[in-house]
Amino acid sequence: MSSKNLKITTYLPNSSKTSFFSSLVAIFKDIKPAHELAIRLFKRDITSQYRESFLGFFWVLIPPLLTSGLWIFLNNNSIINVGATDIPYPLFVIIGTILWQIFAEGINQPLVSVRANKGMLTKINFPREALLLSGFYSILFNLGPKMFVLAIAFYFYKIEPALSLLYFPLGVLMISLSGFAIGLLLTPIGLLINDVSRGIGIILPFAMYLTPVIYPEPTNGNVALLMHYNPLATLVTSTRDWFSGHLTYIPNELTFIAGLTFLLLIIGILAYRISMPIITERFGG
Amino acid sequence: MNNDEVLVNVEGLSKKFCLDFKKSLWYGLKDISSAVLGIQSKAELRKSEFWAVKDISFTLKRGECIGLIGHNGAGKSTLLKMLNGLIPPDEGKIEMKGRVNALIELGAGFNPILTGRENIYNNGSVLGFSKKEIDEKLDAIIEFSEIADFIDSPVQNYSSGMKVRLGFAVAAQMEPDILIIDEVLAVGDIGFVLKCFNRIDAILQNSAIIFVSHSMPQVARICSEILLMDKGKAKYQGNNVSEGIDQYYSQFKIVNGNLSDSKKASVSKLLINGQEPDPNAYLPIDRLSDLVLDIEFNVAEDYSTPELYIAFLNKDMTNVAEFIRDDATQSLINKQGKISIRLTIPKIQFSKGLYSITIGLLAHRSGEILLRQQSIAHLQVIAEHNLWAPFQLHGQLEQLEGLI
Repeated sequence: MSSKNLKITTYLPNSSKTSFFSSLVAIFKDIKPAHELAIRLFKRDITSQYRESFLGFFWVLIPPLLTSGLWIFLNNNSIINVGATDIPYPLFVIIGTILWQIFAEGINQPLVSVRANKGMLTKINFPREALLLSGFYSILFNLGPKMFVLAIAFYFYKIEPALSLLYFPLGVLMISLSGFAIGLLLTPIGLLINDVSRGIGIILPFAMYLTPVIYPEPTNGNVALLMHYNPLATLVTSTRDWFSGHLTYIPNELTFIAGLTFLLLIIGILAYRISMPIITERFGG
Repeated sequence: MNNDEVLVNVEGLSKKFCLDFKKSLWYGLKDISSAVLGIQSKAELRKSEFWAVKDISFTLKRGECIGLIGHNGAGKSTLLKMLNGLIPPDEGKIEMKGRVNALIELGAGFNPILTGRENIYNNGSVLGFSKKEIDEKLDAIIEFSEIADFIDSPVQNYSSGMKVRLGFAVAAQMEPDILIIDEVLAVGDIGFVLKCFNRIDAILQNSAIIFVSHSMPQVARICSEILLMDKGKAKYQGNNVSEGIDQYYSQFKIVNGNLSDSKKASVSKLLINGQEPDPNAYLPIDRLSDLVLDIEFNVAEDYSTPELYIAFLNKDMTNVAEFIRDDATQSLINKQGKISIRLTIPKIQFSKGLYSITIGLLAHRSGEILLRQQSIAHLQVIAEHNLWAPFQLHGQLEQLEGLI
């Protein structure tokens, strides 16, 4: 027994003394066990969720489909006029709301996943990143039915498959990750105080109307200015245009946004790791 | 195997805690921002904070088991969380050598909708097993749990005892260098608890165990040293397990029972072994010594020959022993409203622990309760051994020469 080299774990006060770099190394080391646990938790959540439900997948689709339906109805009856879109309006709205839904799920998921396992956090020492990963896996899983609807729409509106369609998954991933990064940054504070998740719930629908989800990006006026500084506008519009074949390259802004998202993700994960012991302490239990 | 290997080394460990919830959240937010920004926080107490754990040190070698005991709120759980790496200490240092496992909550990660079999995987993953490891151990887990018939039905249909069985069965597969156990064996039938202890014994051969429990017989059964905590500090620490447990018992606050004495009867004087007992303290008495009660009653003169009732309750308020007269014809005689008695119980055979005495008087034949005074006096039985049963019978053992 004594011959085997035992790993020594040391706990000291002020975890802040550990540098960002060593935290990054620690996170990297935890990736494999975290992934394994995350897969398990993801399977657990999905199986139990679907075992308890008759409608199953349908629930993933309801929010974007209802929103689309409403706007298609309003537009067809000329109650509102969103202006000319370069693809049929129903298709425009369906793509838009689904992309927005992906973003919104990204924002909400980290907090939801960690909250759901609060009890475990105060009792068991497991790689905390597993909760984030399992949340991300559910997002990826929920992409399935959404992509299925888009595929039907694609076929129904007889869109010519263009090479730009290859960029589309990239756009979807970026939308999802940018949402996830923001959600992750809010998670440490959101775990301590309820106000954060409430705030998210109120701000998100509002933000949707400031993003060209249900109407095309205007070319002039105040709204156009706003869109110019709204990175989400660029993300959503570009991804939609890749889908319909109206955009055939990667705009420079998107490269910048991708870099920013990556940076936010790294900061978010670090902040999460550093703050988790402090949060566990305040949870009690 | 090297048994001198120190696996756990704890030095001067302290942890602050805040009782005020709002303030606690506010401090939490502050701590998070200073931790993320790399600002060092000060060790001193802020408003509404106190030391939940203060200056705890101990070392544990392979094969040793330390029992953490103390009242609720003494800081045991906070100490365990630090040892388990869930929360960082505010002062001091912890060094843990090898694989650390914690038995703090059985069945963590269970989902009630899923079957027992599926939840074995959930729980196992949370405890750090890989899927392959669980695959290999699945049969052993199901066998240990003794609930093979129900393994494919949803866990929400299980009784709490069955959940504990399944949870422990998974946890029993752990092969840690250091095992942390927190009050997990409080539920479950006694047979299964004993089975769990056998497993813990086996684990202890190769590991160091930190054991938290309120059950002193369990502590006495397994621990080689005791750390008695009170308000975050070590009140007793050492290898004399039975001394530690005695000190733990003597910390108990006295609960004075309901004085349901009516006008019909009352106790006017009580002596235990010749001295008047302090109603707010435990009277120490050695196991196997004689217990002599001198009691003087005031009894209404209508009741000429009342019956005496005396019972002993343990600290869980369970009635563990009662006194009956040897001679059924002998009765107490009311002498102008007074009855004085001396009751001698030779060689009390209670096991180590706390007991309270209930005294009562019943009317002859009708059985009407004239007096019932609960917890009139408190005893602490001092003994070397601490065993499960409330009694250890005193007997003589001899080996016979031939066959019977």
